[in-house]
Amino acid sequence: MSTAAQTAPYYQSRVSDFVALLKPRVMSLVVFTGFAGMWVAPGLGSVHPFLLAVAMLCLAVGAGSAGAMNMWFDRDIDEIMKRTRNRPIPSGRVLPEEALGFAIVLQIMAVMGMALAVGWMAAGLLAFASFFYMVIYTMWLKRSTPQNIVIGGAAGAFPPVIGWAAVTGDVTLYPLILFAIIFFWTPPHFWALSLFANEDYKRAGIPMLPVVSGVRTTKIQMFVYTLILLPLTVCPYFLGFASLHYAVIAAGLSAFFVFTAVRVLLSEDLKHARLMFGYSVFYLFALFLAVMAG
Amino acid sequence: MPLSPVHKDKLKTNLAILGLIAAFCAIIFGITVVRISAGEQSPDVQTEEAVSQ
Repeated sequence: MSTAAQTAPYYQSRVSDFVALLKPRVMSLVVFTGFAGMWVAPGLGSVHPFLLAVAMLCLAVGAGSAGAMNMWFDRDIDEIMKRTRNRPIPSGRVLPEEALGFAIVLQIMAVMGMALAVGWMAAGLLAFASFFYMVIYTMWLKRSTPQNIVIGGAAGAFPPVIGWAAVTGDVTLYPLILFAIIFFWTPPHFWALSLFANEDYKRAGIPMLPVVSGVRTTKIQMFVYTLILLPLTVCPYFLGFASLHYAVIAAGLSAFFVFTAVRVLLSEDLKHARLMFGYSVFYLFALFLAVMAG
Repeated sequence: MPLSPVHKDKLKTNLAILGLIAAFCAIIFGITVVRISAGEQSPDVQTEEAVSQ
């Protein structure tokens, strides 16, 4: 760890700084996909709405605390990268030990709350997802392999499975397909970001794919993952889990995602990578909205 | 009791932490109430009450 992160001047922290530790934008995506998993689970009406609301809150807090732990561990590289140097810890607004304590307590509360509200399956999955993100991805993969986001991205794919398990108490094929959709969405999403933040990752020594294998290889991989998503997102219809309306919407959204990947592949202009990144966020929201509607 | 400068600086954050703990306790209480109510309404409990009468 760099000593710079330890010697940043300390300013009095505010509540909003602790909220920022939780990565609210990531939390919103987690909650939305988790809610989608809950919505499509059979027997939703048989669970008390208060318990479901608590389960969603625990999912949000669990995801947020994993994000806070990530910020605690990555405070040295966050200070180096322009994109992240204004985060609460590298900017000195929150002490590292405060952030760690805050994150650990929130994580324990989230898992306990989930277990008491809806059961041990959902709580266990939440705990495992947080462990995977914090230990497997943040502490191990992120700094050691260009496949970091491919494997580590599994952590972000758990929310729909957790939502499903909160209602049914088990895991079946449909939530696993939703898991797979997010799993294969994650690499092109983050590699699009890393294309226009390449210098930042290089400076911080993070072995993102564009840094290690070059921009061309990364663009080809992004294209391949979007091609995989096309049949995968239509899968729920053919397996009888979703309607034809869903299949048409999913096919259209995924086809456009492939199109954005082709534009990135054929052009040197970073504008296309930015557009692809922006579209990838909209894509996931729209897709899961279609899952809920279909 | 007069508040020291340190107390004043940390007051908002500490009150937020107190609020968080209170909210957690309230949620656990709510879960307990909901689960007990669900238990009272379950067919098994109603059958036992009918038998005991």
